[in-house]
Amino acid sequence: MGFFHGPGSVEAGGTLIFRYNFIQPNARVIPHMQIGAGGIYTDIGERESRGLVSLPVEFNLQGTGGLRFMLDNKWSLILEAGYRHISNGTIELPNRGVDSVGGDVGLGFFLKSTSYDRSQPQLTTRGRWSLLAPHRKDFGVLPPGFLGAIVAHAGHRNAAASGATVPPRQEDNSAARREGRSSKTSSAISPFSIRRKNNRPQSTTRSILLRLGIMLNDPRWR
Amino acid sequence: MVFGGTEPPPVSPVKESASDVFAKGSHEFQNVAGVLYFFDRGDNDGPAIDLAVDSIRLGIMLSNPHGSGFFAGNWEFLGEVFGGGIFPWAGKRGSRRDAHLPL
Repeated sequence: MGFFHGPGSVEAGGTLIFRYNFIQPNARVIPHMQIGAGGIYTDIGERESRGLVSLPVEFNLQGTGGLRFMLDNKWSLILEAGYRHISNGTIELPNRGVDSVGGDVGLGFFLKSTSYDRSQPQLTTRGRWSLLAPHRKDFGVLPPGFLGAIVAHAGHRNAAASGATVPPRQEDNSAARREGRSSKTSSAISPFSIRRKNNRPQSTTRSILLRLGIMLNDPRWR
Repeated sequence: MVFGGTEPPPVSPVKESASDVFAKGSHEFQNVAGVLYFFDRGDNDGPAIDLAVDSIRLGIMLSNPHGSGFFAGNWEFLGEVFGGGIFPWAGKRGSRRDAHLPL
């Protein structure tokens, strides 16, 4: 009689597993949790097992927790402990099932690794929110829209309160031509720019545009 | 000025791109071996079925590492093929070992 003897002698099967790796930056020990489901063949008979196993092929469900010790960039040592249930889903009665707990040890080898930008996902991973409050001087660069209009209005009031006048755009252009500047440069001046006593158009408006954002998905670098 | 949900780490102006074994699409091969001990749920009058199992797994990372804090990590999908034998611990579990004998 060999080593493997009992109500049966062999078992074999396959499992599909979903695992979550708990990865901390620069960690050498990676915990994981996994669940799996599949099929298993055994030569355990119903009579020998007294109803624990009724069919040659049954289902197997498993839940496992483990640790992965990174030995280097390719190899890792794996320790796991978990639970496994074998039954036939009441396809055949009796269906008492086999419940087991145990552990295993082994090696992992990464066949293919890919690269991704580690610096950006810290800021742009899904669910991160941000409040952006840029300080604006010139409304000309603000995006159009309701919020831009509100900020523009606030800025205009700010200019009016300072006692300055709001010149029309063509006056800015003419002033720019007189001073030898290009019209392109001049056109960047906001219509809310005001003329100071030195006759040089300057923007004195100040505004803060608040933007609240949330990342809807992780970056896709590849 | 920028505020965030958590304190953002300083971001290097140089894009840090590194090979990462946990990046999405990375492949992994595993071979683990262990034992599974039968435990009685209370309604068993049959034998103990203890298993010695060797598993070969091929995995692929489904996502890049993401999130922050303890739950930072990624998802991996593995296909496993296993095989092994049923072994007895003679004398360890007493009478239940005798149950596999022809009745």
